[in-house]
Amino acid sequence: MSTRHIRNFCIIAHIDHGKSTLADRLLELTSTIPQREMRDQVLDNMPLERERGITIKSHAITMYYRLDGKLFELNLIDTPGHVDFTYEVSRSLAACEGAILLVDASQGVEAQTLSNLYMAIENNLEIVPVLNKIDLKAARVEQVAQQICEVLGGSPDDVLKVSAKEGWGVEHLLAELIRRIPPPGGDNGKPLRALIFDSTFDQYRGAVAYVRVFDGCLRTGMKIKLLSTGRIYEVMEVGIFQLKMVPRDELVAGEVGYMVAGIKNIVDANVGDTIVEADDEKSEPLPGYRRLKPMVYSGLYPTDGENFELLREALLKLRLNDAALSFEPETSQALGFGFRCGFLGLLHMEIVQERLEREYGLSLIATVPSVKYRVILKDGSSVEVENPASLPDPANIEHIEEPFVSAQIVTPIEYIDPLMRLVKERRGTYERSEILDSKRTLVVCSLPLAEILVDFHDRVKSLSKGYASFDYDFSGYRPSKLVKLDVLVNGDPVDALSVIVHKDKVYRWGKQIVSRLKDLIPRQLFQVVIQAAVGSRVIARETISPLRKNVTAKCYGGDITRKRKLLERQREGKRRMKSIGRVTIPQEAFLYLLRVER
Amino acid sequence: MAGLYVHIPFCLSKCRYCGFYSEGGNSFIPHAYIAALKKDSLREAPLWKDHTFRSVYIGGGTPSLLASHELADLLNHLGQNYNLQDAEITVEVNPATIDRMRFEGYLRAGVNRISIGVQSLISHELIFLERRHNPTQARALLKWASDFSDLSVSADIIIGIPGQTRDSLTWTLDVVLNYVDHLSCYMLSIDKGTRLYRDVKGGKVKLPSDDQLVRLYRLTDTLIEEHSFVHYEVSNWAKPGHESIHNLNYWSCGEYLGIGAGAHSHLCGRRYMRVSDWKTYVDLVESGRSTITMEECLTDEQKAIERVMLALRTSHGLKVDDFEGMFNKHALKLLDDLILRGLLIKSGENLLLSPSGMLLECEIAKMLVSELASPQVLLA
Repeated sequence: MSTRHIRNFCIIAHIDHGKSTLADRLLELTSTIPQREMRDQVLDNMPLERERGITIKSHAITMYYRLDGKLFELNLIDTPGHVDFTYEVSRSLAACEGAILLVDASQGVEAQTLSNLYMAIENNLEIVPVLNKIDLKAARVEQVAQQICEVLGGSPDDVLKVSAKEGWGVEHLLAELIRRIPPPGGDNGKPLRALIFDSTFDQYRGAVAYVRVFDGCLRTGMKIKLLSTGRIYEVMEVGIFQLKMVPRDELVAGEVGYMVAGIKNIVDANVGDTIVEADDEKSEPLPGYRRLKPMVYSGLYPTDGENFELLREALLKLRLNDAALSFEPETSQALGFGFRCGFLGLLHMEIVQERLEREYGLSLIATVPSVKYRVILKDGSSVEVENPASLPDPANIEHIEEPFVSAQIVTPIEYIDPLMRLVKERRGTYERSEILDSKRTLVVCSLPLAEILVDFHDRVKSLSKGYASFDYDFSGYRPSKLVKLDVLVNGDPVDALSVIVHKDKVYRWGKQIVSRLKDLIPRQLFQVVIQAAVGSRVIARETISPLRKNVTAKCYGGDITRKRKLLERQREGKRRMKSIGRVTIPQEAFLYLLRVER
Repeated sequence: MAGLYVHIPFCLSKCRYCGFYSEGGNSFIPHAYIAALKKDSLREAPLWKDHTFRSVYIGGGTPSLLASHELADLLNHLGQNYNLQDAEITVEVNPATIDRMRFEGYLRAGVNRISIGVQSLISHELIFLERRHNPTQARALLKWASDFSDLSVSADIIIGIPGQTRDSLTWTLDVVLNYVDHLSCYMLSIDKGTRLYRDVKGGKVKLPSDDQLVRLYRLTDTLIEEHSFVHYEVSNWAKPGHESIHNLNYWSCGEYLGIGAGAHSHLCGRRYMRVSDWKTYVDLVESGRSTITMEECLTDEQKAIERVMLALRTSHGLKVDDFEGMFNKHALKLLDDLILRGLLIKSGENLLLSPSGMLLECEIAKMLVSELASPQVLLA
């Protein structure tokens, strides 16, 4: 097909604004999927995606549509919508020339939509604004159209109005897509350059790369090279995406499809990498490639220590399909053997945990998520620390840096005060704000990543009665006044409970953990002293007075069995306890302190 | 040597704190139940023909709902089928259910030890417990009993009744100690399913704190020992020679036969229990079927656990020799630690709990059984 008749586009939308429904309608109208194979949210094929209504992996689908007598090839690239997958999103956007900005007419523009929209604009994509759900009574068509124009410029008349659910305006939308989105550039005659914008793993064929050809042709049987590794492969199959993968002889400039090339490991088919011909020494890589780096870390432990091996296998299998997941073995006094896993962000972490539990039947304990600190030592060198227990001797530390994010909060004006108080509480600083319309404001703040890891999003939602939305971008490392807080039980440190916290918060944190531990550790035959300490300085302390009485008054009428059984159970319970020095602490206490509250 | 227990699961009314199976609303014992007791005991007798019974214990419920001729008939029946040589024969007596005539009838029937459910001699404490007797009835019964020099007299006292004070407990004990040669003092336990449990949960009743209980228990121990009683088990004190033979048998892992609904037995390393609903019990006996509803054969490890937990309760304690082989290597360190803390006392060849140790009996038993050697070692 001539590049003039190809259109590559994606859909930018907030959760529940109707992206999947619109995609379903487009597939129907273009007869891409036979009626009998049609179901709702046909593109989201992971159970987790369908359930949560989010897209985790990128998908692509090729549709054919006849307009004014000419046949067009339309490639819809469905991208994950979440910040954790920003990099994948940016690569998917790089594979497109246009984007539908889909906004719920009853809700308006949300923070997540904005950050992806700005990314699309940076990638020079033609934006086609679309209002969805105009069939709803609560639709505020004019107001929201006005709001979109304030963000995008242009006239409200340019904003298309559809109801994906009812099918209203979708045909017009298709025509407008073809009209407004420019055809891809590129030249079939030039040497091959293709972008990998995502990849999956097939246990029989290895990595399946999702590709967009920019120049030249990608043909079955040809030898290609991946620029980031320099490795050479033979192309075994290329093709396009329909409901299934459909093999073709070649993909030409401007086209979107897949490539199987005997790449055994998914980490070798890096998102963002450039495919060239094997003997090509001159071509430059396509811009924007970088290796993925985890931002958030958490220890994952099997609830039942015997399942460590199962967890290892499950993680290995998951990584086949998820190049961004990293993990290495870790042991904890309290939790036994497990893995310290690195994730792109909080959603990625949740998804991995949920997939491990759901697809591999594991029961997991996840420790409080943490970030990677950069410790600058007195000798000028620096080390990265992701587990507080491995922080170097404070005497050698010059200073500690932590990752910061730029957070965008879109909120009705009346909730700005409580939200700003929350930001301040979390060591954040206000940077700027932008009025979106008469009701809503975009506030941009700088926050330490560590401070938004636990329950920040929930707090934003509850402070604004659900109206505010929040998104963030990583903005770099900055020095912070951080200290390591240790917890000691009768003088012995408890490794699993050490944390790195900001100096201003260390007292509150110390007090809290010590008083919670007081309630969680059962009384012992002797006094137990729980301390929170920074270095050798104790900042909080509680004591548990010794147990004075635990006696069964009576063994009734020869019922020895009952008391023995109780003792047998207690003995089992005692075996599950962890000993810190002479103090025995139930495992549940650790779980309670370490578990992420969802 | 063995013990024989007969269970009478009937009461005038159910006390507020009682978590055991018994039928309230009875002022006499159904004939069918007595008949079933006799028939069931006859059936069991062949298994026990080589045993000499040193004790018979009629417990409940409220056994003193038995008329004296019924008790005489029952004891006579047991005497004909079991070898009761000079046995200690105990009946639990509720002061609300007995008059002088019945009491003397019991003695003529062969009873040589009575255990009186006094609980307290303070009116409002008895009312709190929803006991049916008053202090006057209890004192009268104590007095009658003390008139018979051949009769061993025990009383049950409850420690930790809400509203109980050092003074009220002292008063109760001072009076009772004039009449008895044996005392069982139990701390009020809050069992699930009782009315008291619900009232505690519902905030209607406030229980004494652990510290208060500890003080009351210490006071009890001091007061009783002033009367030259020996503290021979966690909750039991006796004048020398008046220890309960029946209970000592339980605590030394002895064998015993239990007859009646819900009664427990122990024979040849096997523990078993009879069905606790009395009507089912009667039906099973009448139709010639077994009344046993639960039974277990103890493993060596379970036997070891029982030995430790029971021996620890008594003033004999554990034999030091037992630690050779029975426990793992951590146990000796634990013992030293417990002795150092004053919870365990080494007395000759025995290790026993100190008074503060007795209050921690469950905790210490838990620690010790956690250090029992693995089953393989036990077998070797």
